[in-house]
Amino acid sequence: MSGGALSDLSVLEVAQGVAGPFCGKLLADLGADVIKIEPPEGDRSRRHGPFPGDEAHPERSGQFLYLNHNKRSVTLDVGSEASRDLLRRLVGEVDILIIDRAAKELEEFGLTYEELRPLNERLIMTAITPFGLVGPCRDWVATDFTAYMMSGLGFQTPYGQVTDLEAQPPLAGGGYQTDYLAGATAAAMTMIAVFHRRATGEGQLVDSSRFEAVNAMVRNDYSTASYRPDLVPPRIKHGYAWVLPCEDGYLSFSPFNADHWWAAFKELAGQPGWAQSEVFDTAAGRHEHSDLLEQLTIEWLLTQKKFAIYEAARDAGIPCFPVNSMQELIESRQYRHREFFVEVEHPEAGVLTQPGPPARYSATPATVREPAPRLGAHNAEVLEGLR
Amino acid sequence: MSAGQHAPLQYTPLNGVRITDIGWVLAVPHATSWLATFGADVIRVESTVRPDITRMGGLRNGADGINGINRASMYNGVNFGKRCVTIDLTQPRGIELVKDMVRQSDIVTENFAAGVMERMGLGYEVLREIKPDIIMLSGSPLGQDGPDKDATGFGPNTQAYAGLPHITGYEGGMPTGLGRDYPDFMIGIHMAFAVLAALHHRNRTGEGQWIEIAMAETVTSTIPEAVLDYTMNRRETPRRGNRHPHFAPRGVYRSAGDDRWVAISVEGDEQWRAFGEALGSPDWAADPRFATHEGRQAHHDAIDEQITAWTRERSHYEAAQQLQAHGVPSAPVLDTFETLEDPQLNALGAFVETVHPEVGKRRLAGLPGRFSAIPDVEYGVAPLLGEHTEEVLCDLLGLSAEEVAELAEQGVTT
Repeated sequence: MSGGALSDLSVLEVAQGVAGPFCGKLLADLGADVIKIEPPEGDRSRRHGPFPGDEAHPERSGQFLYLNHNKRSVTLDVGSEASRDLLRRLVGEVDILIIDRAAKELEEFGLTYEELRPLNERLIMTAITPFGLVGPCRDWVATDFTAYMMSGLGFQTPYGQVTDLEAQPPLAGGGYQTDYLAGATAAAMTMIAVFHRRATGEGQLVDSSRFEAVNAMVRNDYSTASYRPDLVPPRIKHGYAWVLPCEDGYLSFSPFNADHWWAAFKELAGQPGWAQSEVFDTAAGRHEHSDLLEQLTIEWLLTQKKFAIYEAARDAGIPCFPVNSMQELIESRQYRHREFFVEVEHPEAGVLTQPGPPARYSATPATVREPAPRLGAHNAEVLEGLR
Repeated sequence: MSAGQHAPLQYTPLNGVRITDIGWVLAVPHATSWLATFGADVIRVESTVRPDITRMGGLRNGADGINGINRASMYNGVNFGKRCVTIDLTQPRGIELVKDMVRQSDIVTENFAAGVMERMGLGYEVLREIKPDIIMLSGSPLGQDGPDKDATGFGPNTQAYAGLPHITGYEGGMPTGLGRDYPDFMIGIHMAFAVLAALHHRNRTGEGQWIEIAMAETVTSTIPEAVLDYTMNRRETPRRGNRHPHFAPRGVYRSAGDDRWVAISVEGDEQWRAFGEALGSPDWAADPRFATHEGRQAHHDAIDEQITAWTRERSHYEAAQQLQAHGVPSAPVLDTFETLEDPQLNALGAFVETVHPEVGKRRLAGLPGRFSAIPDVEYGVAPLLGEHTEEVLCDLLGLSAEEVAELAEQGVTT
């Protein structure tokens, strides 16, 4: 057993894809003992990729390998009663069950919290579903994409760049933001339940959903709507864009809002004539003329190099970051200095260079102790103990 | 849960946990809103000299149109259930007061620029001296060390560094950011989890620690597929709008109404057949060109045209419901006002009503999810600036009324 922050917790993960496994990964990387239950054909992320050399192989999927290191793999067909019996016995022994089955499947399979609780009064059952276990849409199916779109965040993406409502429809965030966010939210909720159990000895059902996890990200709009509905920003671009082009790429550059940023920017740009106009002297004036100001800034930026501007802005204290490509991230001297990317050697996939943990703990670092398991690698070890 | 199913809560999960919250803007306040809601005593350290920018900027209007430092919607929407003291951190006596608070705290949270806490004499090493098992959480754009540690930025900027906008955008278009304050709130969740994990460890072992979160790293940890495609295959993930190599068709389609859309995602042949049936098995859906995933990818534009002809005739909710009846992932694309009325979000209890002493009744976003053993989560209201200064100084730090008055006179607590 490792000395991680959560090394006293045992977890059964009956989940595939990203959301449930990311929740399990956050716990596992801090030392929790996570047994991952996979269907006989394996977690679907084993088929997702990316694969080295684009050759699909269930033991070489980048998504699977990233999400499932530090876990043990056991294959069970939840559709069979015999397997469910083994599953129930495992449920009796763990602290936490992470399960991503739909509400009606939990009912069909006899895996509802009400049915599992008698097996383990202390069980924390963290359900991760698309829309939650209650409500008129609880049986709706969803993907990362459709949940993102329904949550309100799709209407805010891209942010500050829509100039043509018809040609620029609501847009998906890159990758699988809904699922990663749902996994992190479920992990935080699971810890709340751990503290509740510490105080009371009782377990509980934690009902988390992708839909709510993403919806909670647009919370500022609800505050605004509650105070001044007329001030909720429209989808069409209003005010400044968050990404601007330069000669050799793009920057997220925001020198306009505060007077000291604006003064620093004029200095950085060599006090160009266009920036001296009195209408730009106040934040209100700049905002009123934001389209013109932005256009003039872009004209100047298009003569400038991305990293030169970033470094000058950084030294001048102006909010500015380069839009990094994956290559630029890998080569980022900041990430290198902090050794953010980690190398994990996997017997089937070779050495993987992947993102490190999302947080650094001085006493209990999140670590990769074991690469992701082969499908069913721990069947004997885990199941024979039950027989 | 029906009333009476649970006995009234005698405790909360984080009862007895105290947090000195020196964080500001959105990320740390979002994290500590979780902790406050589940019972921790979160004491925000603010100042009238340099107020939290969410109290100042943006929207701070009451319904009656009066502006004020306690009326900001952005602040009040993310700081519910906390206390607030005002302390001038530029004065040595102010720093001493914070240290006295830390002595009686379990957790300290902050998201100043890297190095600011050290310069104020409140770095982790100092805090550990005065409270050996303290848990400190520090958040910053790029981390506390390294050549770029001093870079300035907000969540929307920081996601650019992290690589997310590079893989987000319309096909052939420029990189784009995700909705407004997404990175701040997303990182706030990771911060809440990290603090709870560290507190769990401390409860078991007595050991505190320093948790450091670089916002950019947290964001990058959620795009491993793009990172790994580069490290494995030296390939950059292209911006593809709403399309995706594993799903076809996938997109948002115009529905009836002004700027209304319905999201549809089809994966595999079986779902494609179900999709055709949901539309009443039109001839075009049986087009052999569309029979395979590869064919649907190749003829995505033609399919999109046919789908739009169908979706335009109905509302986004109607279209989604009809597709859902056949098991096809689909959803109305909702804006802020529609989500506020959405039957599912309301059934889930996503919105809560709070009554603030200055701005009155407000409907705000609660925290996501439900706990069966904590059926009635109580949301407090955001504190007024300095509302609890006297209370904290007297009751927590044991200062006399005279001392409190003297500190106020010296400008230490204003």
